[in-house]
Amino acid sequence: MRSPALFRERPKAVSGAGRPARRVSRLEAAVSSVAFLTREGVVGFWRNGLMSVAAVSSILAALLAFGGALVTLWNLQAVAARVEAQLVVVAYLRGGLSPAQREGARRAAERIPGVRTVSFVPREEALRRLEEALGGVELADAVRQNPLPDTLEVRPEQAQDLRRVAEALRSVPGVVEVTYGEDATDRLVGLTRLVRGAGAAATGVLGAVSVVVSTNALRLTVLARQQEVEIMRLVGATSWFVRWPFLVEGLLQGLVAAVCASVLWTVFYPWAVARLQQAWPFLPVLPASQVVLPLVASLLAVGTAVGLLGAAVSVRRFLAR
Amino acid sequence: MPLIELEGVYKVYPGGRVALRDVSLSVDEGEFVFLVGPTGAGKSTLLRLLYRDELPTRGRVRVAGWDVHRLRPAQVPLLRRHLGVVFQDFKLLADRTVYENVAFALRAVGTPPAWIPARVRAALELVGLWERADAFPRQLSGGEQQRASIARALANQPRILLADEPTGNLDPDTSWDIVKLLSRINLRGTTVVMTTHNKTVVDILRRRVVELQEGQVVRDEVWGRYAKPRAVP
Ligand SMILES: Nc1ncnc2c1ncn2[C@@H]1O[C@H](COP(=O)(O)OP(=O)(O)OP(=O)(O)O)[C@@H](O)[C@H]1O
Ligand SMILES: [Mg+2]
Repeated sequence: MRSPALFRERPKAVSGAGRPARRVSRLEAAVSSVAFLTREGVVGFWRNGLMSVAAVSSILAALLAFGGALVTLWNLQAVAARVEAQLVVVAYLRGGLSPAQREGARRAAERIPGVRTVSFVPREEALRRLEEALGGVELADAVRQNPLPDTLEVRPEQAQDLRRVAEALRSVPGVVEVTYGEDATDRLVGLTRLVRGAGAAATGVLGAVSVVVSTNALRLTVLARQQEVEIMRLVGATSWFVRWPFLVEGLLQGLVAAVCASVLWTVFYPWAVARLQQAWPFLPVLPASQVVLPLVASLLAVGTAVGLLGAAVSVRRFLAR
Repeated sequence: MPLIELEGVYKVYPGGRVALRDVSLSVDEGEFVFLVGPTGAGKSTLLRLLYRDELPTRGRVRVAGWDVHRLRPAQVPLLRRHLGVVFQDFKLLADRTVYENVAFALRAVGTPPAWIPARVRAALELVGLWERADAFPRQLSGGEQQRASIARALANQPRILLADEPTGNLDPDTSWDIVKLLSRINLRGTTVVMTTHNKTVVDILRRRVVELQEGQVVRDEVWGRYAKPRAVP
């Protein structure tokens, strides 16, 4: 018992064997605490080796499924967007309008809310397109007079506005008829909307599943450190002190799972695209260059969020007491 | 003002078991108190109220100036920093050395790292375990493990040391060592409350003895013995 006196002294004087006494600022103490707790979390991640592997793999499985849903959703959206972009309302103009009247009709069409673009298609152009569509037949020779009217091609901002835009166009002066392939188009728009909704719902559900999965995985982690938590609380650690290492550990588990999922998807997606296009060359799939980066970003974001959330939820049980 | 004070304390556990009934007790700074009584008398329960592991069903508990019975959860850690608690089963972390176990407790309350080596060393020297600082708990005898857990409880320099049957798992000689250690700690100014079934120790040391029976204080003597001498009519 050489140093009871030293022991009994208060912190400022005890700053130690040979070390000059000095004040430690609150900030300094806080920073060192955070560093310590972060290290505790990282060390825990490694020490709980097998359990970390189990947690990471279950989060990984959930993230892979989530990535699948996301990729599918994006492709469906791209297809839907492409289909919708081709939807136009065609307004036939009365014959013999003066250029000023035609311009007036075009302006009026542009002012309709929800209209993205209006393009004037002169009857000559319409005939040329028809010839092209028929495979290069010279119709100008076959028909002495061009039977086609001038038209306005109106593209709405959103496919579901087609009907309303068409209605509005009918009352534009100079317009005699409006068509947008009513029934077929309405059904198509309904279908794309359904596809989008289902994709988004599936993505949401899989995101929620990932949270549940990681909560369960991290519950094991918390359980394994029950004794540490008990002692921390016994000696007077605050809730944040107890929580922090778990949050770090959860974040790490989520991050590692997300990195694995990203690598797998980065390899798998281009391969799948190549195989699909080999089998069905006209299948409209998004190229890897457009998918991989946002996918990796989403996986990393969701992975870390899910890890943090899972840890926060599972540690709450201990702090409730 | 007493350092520890209970007033009309009742503790009824969920399920209806009455562990303490109308307990009033006050302990001054610097006292050494043996808490004795048959198994199930409520000794551990009383300690748990002091470090606010449980709340009293009725009555007041004051410790080191804190109204423990109505402490907000956020303040509980602050109370516990004034207390060291020691158990029969040591509760050491098996995957850390003795040094790390003590340092862990200091870290957990945000002690600046620069202070930690000196504090750990002082605590381990106090309990006579500095030479075994790098050993893991499984490499230590029961007595040494209890010393390590006492060092951990004292590292934060608490005013009060609560010990729940600290010698319960130890042989008589080792028990005696531990009790002597606790006495020495008490002589240095730390208030000690210790539950025990160890008659020899209590009878030789002759310190204050509080006896509980079925949740009630039935005896409180300044120079007490483990059991009341047979009444001579
Ligand atoms: N968490 C609990 N829930 C319900 N009843 C409990 C709980 N803890 C203790 N009890 C009961 O309260 C009574 C007092 O228990 P306590 O542990 O305080 O006794 P003790 O004096 O420490 O006994 P021992 O000497 O055996 O350690 C006992 O009847 C016990 O069964
Ligand atoms: Mg007990």
